[in-house]
Amino acid sequence: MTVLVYAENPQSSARLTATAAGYLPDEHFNILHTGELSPQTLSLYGRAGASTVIRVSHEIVRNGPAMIAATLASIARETGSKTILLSSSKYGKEIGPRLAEALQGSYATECIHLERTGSGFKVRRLVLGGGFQATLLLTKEPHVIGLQTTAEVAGEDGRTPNVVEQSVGVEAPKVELVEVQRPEASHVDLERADFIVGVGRGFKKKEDLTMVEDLARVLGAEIGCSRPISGDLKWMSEDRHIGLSGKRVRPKTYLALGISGQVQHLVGIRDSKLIIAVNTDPNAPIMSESDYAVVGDIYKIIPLLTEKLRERLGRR
Amino acid sequence: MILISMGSGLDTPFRETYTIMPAGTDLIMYIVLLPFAALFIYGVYRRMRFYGLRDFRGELFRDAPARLGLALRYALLQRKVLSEKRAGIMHAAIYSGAIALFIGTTLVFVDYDILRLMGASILRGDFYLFYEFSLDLMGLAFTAGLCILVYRRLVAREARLRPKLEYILTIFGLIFIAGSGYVMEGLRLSIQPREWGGWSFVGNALASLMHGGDVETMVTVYRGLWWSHAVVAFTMVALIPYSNLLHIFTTVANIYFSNIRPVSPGKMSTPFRLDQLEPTDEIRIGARRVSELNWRQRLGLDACTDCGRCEAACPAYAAGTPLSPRMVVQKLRMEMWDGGDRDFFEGVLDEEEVWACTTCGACVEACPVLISPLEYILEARRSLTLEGRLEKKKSSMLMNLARFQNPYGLPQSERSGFIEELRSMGVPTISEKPEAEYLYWIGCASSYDSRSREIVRSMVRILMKAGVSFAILGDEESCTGDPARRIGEEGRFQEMALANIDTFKRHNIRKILVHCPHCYNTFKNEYDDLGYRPSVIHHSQLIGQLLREGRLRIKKPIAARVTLHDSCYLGRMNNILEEPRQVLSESTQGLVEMKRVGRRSFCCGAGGSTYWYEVPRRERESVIRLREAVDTGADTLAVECPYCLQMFNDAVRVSGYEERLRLRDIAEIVAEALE
Amino acid sequence: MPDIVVCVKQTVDIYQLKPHPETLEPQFSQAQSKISDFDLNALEEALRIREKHGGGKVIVVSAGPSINQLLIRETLAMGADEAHVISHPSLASADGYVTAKVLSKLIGKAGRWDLILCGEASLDNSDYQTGPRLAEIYKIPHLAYVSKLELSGQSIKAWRTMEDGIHISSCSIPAVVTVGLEINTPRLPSLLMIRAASKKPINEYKLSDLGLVEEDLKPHVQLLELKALKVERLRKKLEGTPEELATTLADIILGEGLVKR
Repeated sequence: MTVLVYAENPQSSARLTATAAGYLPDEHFNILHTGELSPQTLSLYGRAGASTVIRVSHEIVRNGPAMIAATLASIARETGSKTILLSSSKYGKEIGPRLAEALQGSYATECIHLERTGSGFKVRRLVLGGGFQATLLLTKEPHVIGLQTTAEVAGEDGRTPNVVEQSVGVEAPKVELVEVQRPEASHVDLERADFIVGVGRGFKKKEDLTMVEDLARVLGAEIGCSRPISGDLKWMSEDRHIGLSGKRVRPKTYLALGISGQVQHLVGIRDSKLIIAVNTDPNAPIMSESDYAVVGDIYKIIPLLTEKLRERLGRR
Repeated sequence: MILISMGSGLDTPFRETYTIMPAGTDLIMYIVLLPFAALFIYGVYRRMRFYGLRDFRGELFRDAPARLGLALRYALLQRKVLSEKRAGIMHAAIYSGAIALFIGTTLVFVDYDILRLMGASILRGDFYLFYEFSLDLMGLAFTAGLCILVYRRLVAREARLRPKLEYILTIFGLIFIAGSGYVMEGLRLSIQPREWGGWSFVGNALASLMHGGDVETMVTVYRGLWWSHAVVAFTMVALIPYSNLLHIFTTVANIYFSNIRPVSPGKMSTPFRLDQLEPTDEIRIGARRVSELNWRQRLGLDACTDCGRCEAACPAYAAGTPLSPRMVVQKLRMEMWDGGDRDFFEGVLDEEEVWACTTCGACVEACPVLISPLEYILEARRSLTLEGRLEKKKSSMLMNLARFQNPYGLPQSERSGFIEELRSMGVPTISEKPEAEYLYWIGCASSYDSRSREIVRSMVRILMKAGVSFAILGDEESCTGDPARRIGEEGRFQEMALANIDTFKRHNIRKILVHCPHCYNTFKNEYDDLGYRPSVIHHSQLIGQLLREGRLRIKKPIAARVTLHDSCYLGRMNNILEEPRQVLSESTQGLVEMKRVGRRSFCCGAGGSTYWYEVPRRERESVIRLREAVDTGADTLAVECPYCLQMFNDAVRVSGYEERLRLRDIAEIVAEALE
Repeated sequence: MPDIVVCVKQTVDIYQLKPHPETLEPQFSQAQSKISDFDLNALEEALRIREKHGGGKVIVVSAGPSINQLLIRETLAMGADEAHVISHPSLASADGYVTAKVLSKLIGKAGRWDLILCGEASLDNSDYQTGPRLAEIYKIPHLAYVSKLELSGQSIKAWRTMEDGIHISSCSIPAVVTVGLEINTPRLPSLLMIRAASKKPINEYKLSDLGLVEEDLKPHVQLLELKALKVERLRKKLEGTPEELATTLADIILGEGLVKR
């Protein structure tokens, strides 16, 4: 079976393919690539497990998700792909539904597990705020699936994929990208961090977060937050938002400070090895979902903890 | 004593009016008076138009005896003004002096312009001597008052007095009138000495200082002072309807008409009845424009003297929130004076001012002229809530009430766990014991908050020890609706209240026992308007009763020196001050009082639904009050309300006073003392 | 003066949902329903656009297995002019494809419109499908994850919250816009407003009114199983003075050997 794969950039496409290959070992993966194709990228695709790269003009991505969906639809029809894999990023989630509607096939996104069954797929995804796992059966072809990317691309050389040039002339409603405002903060990689300190509504002012920064520095930890902090309050950038609609993290230790623990946030930290929560409210939802629930005042405990850690770790 | 005598003779003392002034002065004076009088009358007319009172005569004579009583107590006898020593004495002095001098001037008018033309006279003989003496004496009182006034503004610099130009000019005016009056008296007695001059003792003393002065100069100065005194006086009177001096009339009027308002500020008005509305009726409640205030509310704005006592008493103000009750009234008043009818929240008030209020009623208690700044705030809230213009936390609380029938937004299952615990202690539900004497109403705070649940556990032990017949509603209990009402959601309040009343009627409930002052207040004062009047008792009252009846005996008073925080809704709103104290005296080693005690208590900051949302502030009311408690030297702070308990619980943690001050509800203290 | 259609979904209140202790299935009967939070944000935005651009209709559409009239009435109380709904038991198993199809038929009953607004995802499924699917059906552009929206003439500009920052995009009207929670705070209608809104029409339809048959409601994706994820945590509660707690925390953190020395 051939599977068409597309994500917002080559690295994502590669990792998506590698992830999919884990679930579907005997299938052929065709990666859709837009724009110039360098040898390094081609090699990357090969190592990820792609057998073919379909190259189209970069123009496709300039006009918004409708155009991309229309392009994918056209290529899927032409190549006879019955399965199209997209990333489950926001980018992918805009394209997927339009694609599925155009192809009148089945669609599921944010899938954390994939399994071929007869003429369809069985997938698993989180629903109801992330508290529950749904198992879904996709029956109608073609299948459009948004997959959570978890795998890394292997280092060994795979074979070099064929490159097929494709020109697509589709019409689609346009959306113009006027400007991208990136946060000033440098690139944060919460998904790969070993120790994360989470910040929640227990903090009263943005200025109070400096004590968390001090603590994080001593710990060598990354700082994440719950949705209100990056959303409503904008005390931190969106890339630090941990939760159902933010990042899913899997650190060795997650220290939740002043976080009540709404279910959407708990989903994001569920895969942590150790969860410690500090909150004045012993009945906050996060307290029963942690390994250690510290009932106390973050304003008092954080400075003391930072000091103690500093002492015991030597000068930092 | 001869009051009115016919004929004259220079050996009888009498008032010599206009004798130093040139002939025709009286006529010129009345001509000069005309424009001032016109200005005054026009001003009065315009102000009364602003109030928009339709049936003035009808309103004036309605309930007259009761209203006259109010006017006597609070206006004439200045009862609330005198509650503050320095300011009270100052005002009493100025006020009585001014009245006396006014009577004095009126008597001159009567004597000269009426009786004289009939050939009679009243200011003559012994009465005249008495007249001169009294006026000089009252003039001194007036002056003494003015001295205190100047002292308060210049030396003491009292924070609540605003240095507006208008007030400063008024003070100068009054000083000038007093001063010029005496100086003229002195000049007169120098120019025309009289053997009875000694009765005008101040003038007389001044005259002796002027001894040997040039008479011509003195006459000129006298005439100059006479006219300036007249013009200044006319000006000030003419400007009464345009200045703060209007309070002379409006305060009396406001006090007179104040019996229209409910006595307790704990009772909000009921502008409609939900069960009597057509489903699609469009109701507008609340007020956010001058035109939406009724005549009495507008009169109230005009009665404000800008004294600032409400602001000085306001806990939200002390905590550094945007609210000052005085400024709310003054701002609305200015809008009314400008003839404006703007939406209050487009340039007059800031929403945060209105939301910061804890509805504690300290402003109402403090106001000497019976204005309720609280009323304007609550009406504005109603208007905002009607529109749905509420930020997240307030909407969440209302949504929680709507969907879960409690402001915490916690499901019934959370309450059930606690109810089971109580039932295992032997507490029956009303269905199990329909003949129970008391319904013990737990309330939302104590159903859901872990610390507040302790109050119930203690109370249950007390009730069982005393053999009181009681039951709880169990699952049928839901919120009284008080948080909805205070935030302005009258519809939701009535919906919940009517549902509760239905439950009460079904179970035939007559007596309700509560430990929460908010529940107490709503049941006692507010359910009545919706057709149900239960007998309500606060747990501190019941405990007191049980002790008196001997059904409860204190085994050993607990080793604690206690200070009691009077809950606003219990003490100030409902006058329950003594019983908690008696109970505490019996069950502890002794009671010490905080400075702001009883009706002057300082709110913990949770009232008015402010517990459920945030306003910008410098610090918390509870922390301020806690410092006061610590300063008494007591080791235990006793409370009578679960919200006070929660507020102080947080405050104790935040201020680090855990070691110095224990926090207990009255029931917990008594339960401990029963062991 | 744009006319705006708002799609709202009645979902279970996920914050009240607890799994059955044995089967681990969600106990829907114990939880209340509500309108998905994001959809209320969408409705609020539509109302604000109307207030800002003077007039225009705001029309609510909703499809589900058993629509609670009171919830729809609340949307009218917020300020919407009319509602078009369909309640059909087969919609309990509706997937994104069915939902979009049915909604588009309801929208057909609403008359003319310039914009369709909905939440970026629903509270229960968080599928992010409805908006883009509708846009594809009508062959119009869509803007998703919007935290700020501006209209001018025949085009709209949106600030979209993406993973790497804010993407400011624009497109022409008609269009579909899906909004996030941060775009506004929805107003809460008072009880009196809810009662007054009973004058406004809620139009209920049957399948046949919409030109649909049972067959049309067959989903392409079926739910096989729904279970809670059980992760066992130690659940150790720690209390004490800040001093004590800080020491204990330091022990735990360092003891686990997790901090780079």
